Amino acid sequence: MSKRPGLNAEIIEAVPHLRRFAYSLTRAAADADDLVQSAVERVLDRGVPDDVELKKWMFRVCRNLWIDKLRAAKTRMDAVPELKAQPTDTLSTEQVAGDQMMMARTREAIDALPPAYREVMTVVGIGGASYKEAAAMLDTPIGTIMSRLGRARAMLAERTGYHDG
Amino acid sequence: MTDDMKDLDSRLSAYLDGELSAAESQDIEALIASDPQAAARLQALATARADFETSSHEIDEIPMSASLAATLERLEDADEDRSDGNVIAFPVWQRAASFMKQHRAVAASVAVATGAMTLQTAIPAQVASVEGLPANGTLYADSGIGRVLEASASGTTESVGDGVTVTPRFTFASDDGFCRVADTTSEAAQARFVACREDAGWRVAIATFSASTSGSPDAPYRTASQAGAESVETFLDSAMTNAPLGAQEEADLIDTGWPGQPSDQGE
Repeated sequence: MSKRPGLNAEIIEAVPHLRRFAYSLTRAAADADDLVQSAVERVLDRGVPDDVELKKWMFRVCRNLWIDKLRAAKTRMDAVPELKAQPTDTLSTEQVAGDQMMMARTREAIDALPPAYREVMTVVGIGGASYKEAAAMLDTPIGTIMSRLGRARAMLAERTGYHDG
Repeated sequence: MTDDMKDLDSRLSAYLDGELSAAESQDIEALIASDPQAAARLQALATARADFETSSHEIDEIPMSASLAATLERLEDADEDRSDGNVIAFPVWQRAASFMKQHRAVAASVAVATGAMTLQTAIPAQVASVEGLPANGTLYADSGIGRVLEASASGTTESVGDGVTVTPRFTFASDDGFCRVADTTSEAAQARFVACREDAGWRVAIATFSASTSGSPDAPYRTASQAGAESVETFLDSAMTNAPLGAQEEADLIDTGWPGQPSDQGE
């Protein structure tokens, strides 16, 4: 695949979106940046088909790399069970002061979502994929995409208490 | 939670995403119009949907990792327009081009440090009299700066009109021929550049500009601390294959009209 013109500028423009996408998946800024960097390197290394929207392509690359990491981590955790108990890396309490309590609650609720739910919310909600695109990307029936989204949002709503309001 | 509720959540959620058919959407709209609980549920799911999106923006406030930032910087540098900013690298040789790729970060820092200046700002009279200079970077041997490079010993300052002076600093032999490092000043700006001898005259390989200071062009050549000069220094590290020529060698070249150039060999 030849390098398409203006690719560097396109990548630079896509990075803020990629970071949000990656952050939604990983829930930790450092992991998100690692993921974005790997995605950028992958795209520079292997190129991009001419007819794709770069941002969406990179979302896909990001998601695939994340799955690879999850698989590797799962293998490690299966081998060393105590790793499972480690908390996920989140923002420091200083960053979550005062009126950000609600945000913190939302964050916790998002952190608590099963990865498969967070994944579909990220691909659709941040990545802007249609259900059909998400189904293809995640190799999952559309009906499952739809029900996971419904379930994920319901879980978030319940955990943040909005359903009471 | 019942399967019916799960199904409702899914449909409401798909409604929010605009994924339902027209008929299905109408069904949902009829339901929320008649059922306050369903309307509240839709509101809760909409909030969760929006919160998820908003939450992703948290990372915008967190500085990028150093390695990602470095990767982006590299991409930016590689994309930078060569004629933009105050370091102008004329694609004279492959060597100069590859040099600039490697050292674009240095070049970029010059633009930041001194603001955008152009060749025209630095040496207006020369540009006015030499058509197309920014495009091909050639300083013709029979006029202005080109004539100074052609005929003046290093260390001497010549006026070329309009308040512009030129001071050749030293001469060196590169793989591609003889080159000279020179400073030029005008009222508005000063520049340091490297130009190399070709058929038509002297071709500028790299030039850096900065706002003019009160510094005299008579000052001896020194390794300036400013970023602009630094990129010339770095360029010289790459392009100079030998030490600068001695005064006598230089004088001989001036006297004999710079022979021994690649273009002269076939004549």
